[in-house]
Amino acid sequence: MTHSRKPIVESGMEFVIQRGDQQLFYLEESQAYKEIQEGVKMAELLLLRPESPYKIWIIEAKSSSPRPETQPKFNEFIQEITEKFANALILFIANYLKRHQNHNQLSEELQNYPLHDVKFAFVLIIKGHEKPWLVPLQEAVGKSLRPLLRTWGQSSKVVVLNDVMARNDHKLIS
Amino acid sequence: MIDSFDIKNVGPIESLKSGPLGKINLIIGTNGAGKTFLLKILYASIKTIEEYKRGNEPRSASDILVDKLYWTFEIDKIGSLVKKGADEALQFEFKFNGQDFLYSFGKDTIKNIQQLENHISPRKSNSIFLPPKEVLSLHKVILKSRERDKEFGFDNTYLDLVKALMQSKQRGKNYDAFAKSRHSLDNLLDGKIEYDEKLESWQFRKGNQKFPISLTSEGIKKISILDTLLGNRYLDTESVIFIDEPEAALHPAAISKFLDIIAMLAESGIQFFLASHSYFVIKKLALIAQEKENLSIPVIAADNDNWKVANLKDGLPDNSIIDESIRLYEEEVRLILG
Repeated sequence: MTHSRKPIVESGMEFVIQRGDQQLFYLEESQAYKEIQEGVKMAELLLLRPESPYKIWIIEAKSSSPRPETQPKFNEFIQEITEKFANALILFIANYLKRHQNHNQLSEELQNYPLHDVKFAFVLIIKGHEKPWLVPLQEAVGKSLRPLLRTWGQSSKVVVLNDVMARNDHKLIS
Repeated sequence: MIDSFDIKNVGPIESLKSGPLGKINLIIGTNGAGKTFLLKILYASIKTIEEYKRGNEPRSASDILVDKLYWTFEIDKIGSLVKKGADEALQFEFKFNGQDFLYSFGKDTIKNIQQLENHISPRKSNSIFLPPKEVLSLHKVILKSRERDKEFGFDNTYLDLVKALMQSKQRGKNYDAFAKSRHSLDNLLDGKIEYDEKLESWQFRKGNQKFPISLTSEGIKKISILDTLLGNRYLDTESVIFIDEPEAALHPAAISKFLDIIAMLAESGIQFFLASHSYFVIKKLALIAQEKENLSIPVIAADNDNWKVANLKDGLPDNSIIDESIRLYEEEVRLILG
């Protein structure tokens, strides 16, 4: 189904939904999440990008992140992101399988998209981060999420972008 | 310590002024930029100062320098060290503990340096060069080739190191300043190297067991070499250590520990010049520079023919090694998101 909704603004970045809401599952605002949100951390949104090698993107936006050298804050941050991505994947699959009462949260295109061989990209966007800082972050989130990615199969991956890359290279934000 | 240097037409380097140097100095750049060349000419120059007037040494500084350059670079005439195509002479100048040492020669010079000024007082300390290849399992070959046959093949950086390692342990207590560093080295090693006079070879001792040095890893040999030079008192707190590719044969975790030890030794007085290609070395040294307020780490970086001097206290410098790690990251992002 198609939602009529306000612009999606997360961590000071406004998301562009290129092909309309058919490609969007707004995880954080979904009815299913609202009913279970107590104690459950959630990524922002899920997008279908059929033109990309990894066709489903689960996206979390942040306005900042601690530097790797600032332990233990950095580890806590990585843990939080890992939890959000893992919960987002499960929430999407639960909706896809119509396990929640409000199962009509997914668009028709997403609901009918065959998932058996789809690769997922877990995309973290951090506003204002310089590229050299993104390199270790991508490694750290990738390492932390590895058990989940392996369990889920089909070579899913973690990507960490800054707002400039999200805007210019991937048209994710305006 | 070497306070600063200023060189012109040296090998592949047209011109390079270091500015104020630190206890740890990092030299980075692409292959062929002249990193090893720079380390070697600094090494040959400081060895000249160290040999001049030592004991009964009768030679002039100029004669010693010619010998050092000849055997360090293994060239038929020292004029070959002048930058190819340069109209002007090679010029070398450094300040050591506030005093100057400078020389100059042209491309036709065979073995006579006319212009040399040495204002540095004779010194007792020794400096050393640790080349990327290990010397322990080759020490007999190196000694034969250089001492008996007088052949090119192993330059002075190898010969000096072999001889320094053979120096028997001096009497007296080890320098307190080195105790902590040696303890950390021992933790990395889990054993000791020792020279077996009967077998005429280096052995690695772990507990009661002895192994031929050829059976130990390259990394163990590298760390053992530094440990031995600190233990036999060849090095003291005034020494200068040149390390070409400290990362060679070491796992990134061992690189980090090795550099922590280097930082400790630098704090006790030793000056280091490290030439590296490694992202891990640069990153780790940048963290050390941030952690230790009193340790400034100048980074002398070559990109193509262009040399720049920065300081790791200000973060990672713009350089092709850093750029490559970002390029790999970008390539991965492109493969995933398209």
